[in-house]
Amino acid sequence: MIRDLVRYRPLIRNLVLKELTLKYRGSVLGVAWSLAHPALLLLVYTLAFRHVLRVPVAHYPFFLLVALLPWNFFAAAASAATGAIVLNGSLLRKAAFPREALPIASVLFVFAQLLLALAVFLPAMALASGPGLKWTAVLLLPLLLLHVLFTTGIALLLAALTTAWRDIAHFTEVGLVLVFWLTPIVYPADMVPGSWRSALALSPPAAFAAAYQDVLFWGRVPTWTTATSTLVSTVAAVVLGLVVFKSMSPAFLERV
Amino acid sequence: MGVLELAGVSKRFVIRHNPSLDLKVRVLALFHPRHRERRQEVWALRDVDVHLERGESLGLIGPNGSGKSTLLRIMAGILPPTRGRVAVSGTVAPMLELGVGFHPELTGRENVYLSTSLFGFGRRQTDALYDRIVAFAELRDFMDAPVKTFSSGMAMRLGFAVATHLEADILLVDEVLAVGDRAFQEKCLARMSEVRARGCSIVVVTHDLDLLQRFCDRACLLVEGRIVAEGAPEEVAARYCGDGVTAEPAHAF
Repeated sequence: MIRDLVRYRPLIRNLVLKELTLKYRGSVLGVAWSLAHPALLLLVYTLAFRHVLRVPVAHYPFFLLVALLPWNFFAAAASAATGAIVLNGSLLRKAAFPREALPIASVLFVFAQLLLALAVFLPAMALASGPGLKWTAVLLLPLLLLHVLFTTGIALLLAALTTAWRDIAHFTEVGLVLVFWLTPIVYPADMVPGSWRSALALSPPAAFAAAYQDVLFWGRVPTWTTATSTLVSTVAAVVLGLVVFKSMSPAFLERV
Repeated sequence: MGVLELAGVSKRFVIRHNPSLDLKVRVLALFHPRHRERRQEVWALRDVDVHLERGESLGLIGPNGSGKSTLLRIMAGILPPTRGRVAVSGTVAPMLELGVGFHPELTGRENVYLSTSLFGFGRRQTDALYDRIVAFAELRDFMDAPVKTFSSGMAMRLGFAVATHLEADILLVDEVLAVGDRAFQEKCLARMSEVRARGCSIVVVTHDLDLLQRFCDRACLLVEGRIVAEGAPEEVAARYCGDGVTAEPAHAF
């Protein structure tokens, strides 16, 4: 199967290019929309959480930025993945390409937008007067790799399950909102009551958010617990995603 | 041994009446039989054997719902058979539709690269075919325009050009010629004869008995998922017309 995917790499690239082309062609502001959207979110959350609710973190917009951008990537990818198979029935009926290509391409399409946003916001953060960027920022590269793999595992799982239970798409939408507010992204982890904090240690999204905040905002190496948690959840998500997808894919054509 | 070998292939579909994929109904169904979905099994193919030689063209005829398209999908590897064995030696180009994966907003050029990559072609492999595809489709001046601006004839020519230039060992054609005008059909038949002369094997599903007799070396008649006649196209066509097998099969839905 991995060999199939390697052979069909051009397909994945073309599917990503297709989505990017369709998104930006004919739009005057084009790529700027991918930056305007997170910029407006930052503005709104900063107003609400620094000026109204007074979250006690210095340089709050930067604190927010470093975990919010990756979260938006994960949330958009998970949500798109639920439609990756069920909305592509006509393609599945006409060609025998590896089905994994569809959810993988939908993850990479959103990932490309995360990279674009990071490419603009991180230099701005390094130059602006604020926390700046420390050497630990180089750890962003392995972290992004883990995060994109983790997200791909979840995407494969959701894409496959939605073919059998259409409710998965709705659960995902609601679940993402729930997980977003339970994850220390707009507030720091040390504001969470002590009894909940141990539960938080089990949450993969919380581990990823903590890791981004560590390497980009606090300028420190993530703790052993955070690093292990991201690694273990990535391996688990990829294995689970591949196994479920593989076992359900022979029946896709009868269900979409 | 031929390029394509099907032995004892059967395909079962499960038809879900009132397909309730939603969870509420599924939970109710645990307690109440009224909510349970009614499933019906349909054997779209039963014990089908096909043997295809290199450079041979095989025609599949039969009434609607007799399993022709299902058979092509199994040959293409798009559907797994429920029972039986499929052995393919070489590459398969399924043309179950003209312009697979074409998106109206993308240009002709972008669509060619996207469509070929659905069949496992990389950029360089497509570069090598690109000029011939465009020349066949007679669209040299239009390749940078979105496909939505093409006439239906232009889009069909481009789709046909892509599928027949993939240099596959086996070409599977499902009824796609029926949609074009006379000139398009002649052009396509000439192209199919050309790829066959180079050793490509072709399986054609058609309702056009004239085309069957002109183009195919051999024919199979499918009725309700079984091959009921096989042999020279003239004889199989005569059998198809004579037996009154055009009646809809019992499981039509």
